[in-house]
Amino acid sequence: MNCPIEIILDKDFLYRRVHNNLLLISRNFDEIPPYAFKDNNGISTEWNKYSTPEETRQRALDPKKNSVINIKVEIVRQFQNLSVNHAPIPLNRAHSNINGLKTYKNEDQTDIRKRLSRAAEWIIKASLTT
Amino acid sequence: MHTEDFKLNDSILESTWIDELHKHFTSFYKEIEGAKAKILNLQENWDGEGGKSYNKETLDRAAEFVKKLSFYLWRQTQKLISSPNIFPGPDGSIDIRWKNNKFDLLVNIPENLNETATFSSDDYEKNTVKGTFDQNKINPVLFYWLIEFL
Repeated sequence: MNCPIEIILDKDFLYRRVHNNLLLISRNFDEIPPYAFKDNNGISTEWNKYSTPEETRQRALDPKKNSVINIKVEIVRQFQNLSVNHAPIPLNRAHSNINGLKTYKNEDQTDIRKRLSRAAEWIIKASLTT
Repeated sequence: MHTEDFKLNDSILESTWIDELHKHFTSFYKEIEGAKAKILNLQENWDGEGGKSYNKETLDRAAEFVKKLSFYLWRQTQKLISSPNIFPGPDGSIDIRWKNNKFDLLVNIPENLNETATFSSDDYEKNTVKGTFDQNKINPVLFYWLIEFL
């Protein structure tokens, strides 16, 4: 069944998985690494209208090795070229993308990744011993 | 400060000062090398999203940048900067971040030596700097920006 594409509101939130390998490298586990906003043909996220943080985590290949961050849509849209688009896929109606990061000059991409990582918050932080 | 401190002769002061400096830079370099080793250990798909492994050469360049910057800052100001967080970056690049309550600086060292490195920093208020730099040189804007926060 194809799910309809819907409009995501500014007040909504996006969840994104962060692999624990990234946390293990950090000296400060509270800091969200800018790599969390790596653009890989868009930044893949899940819309809170159709997912919970735990459901987002469970969709990882190895959920135990993943944490989840969230960010408010309004913050992402403050960057003129960034768009937040609902992009449902089979078995995941929540799937959404942040598009447009790579349309910026390299130094602006660095700036945006820094600001998004600062604006995001941990919502599930997996145990690093698992 | 005790009055006895003024009685120390120059050689004691100098050796204490050199000891402190040695300790700082030894610990600083150890942290940099530790981060390098962790990133080098990452295998293909380390992030579950097809993340690639990292070249030693890119990490060496990133580490050299951090070491040189800290040394030049010390030489210019006699002040020591704390060690940054060194992270994997996108497309084989390396992210270097200094983040404290005064400023947030992200430097990105690309995998390709011929590409310019990029940086962005702000003081959480209205002051921001960003730009690019040749990986073989220290960017003066970045350098003098950092001096403000030492």
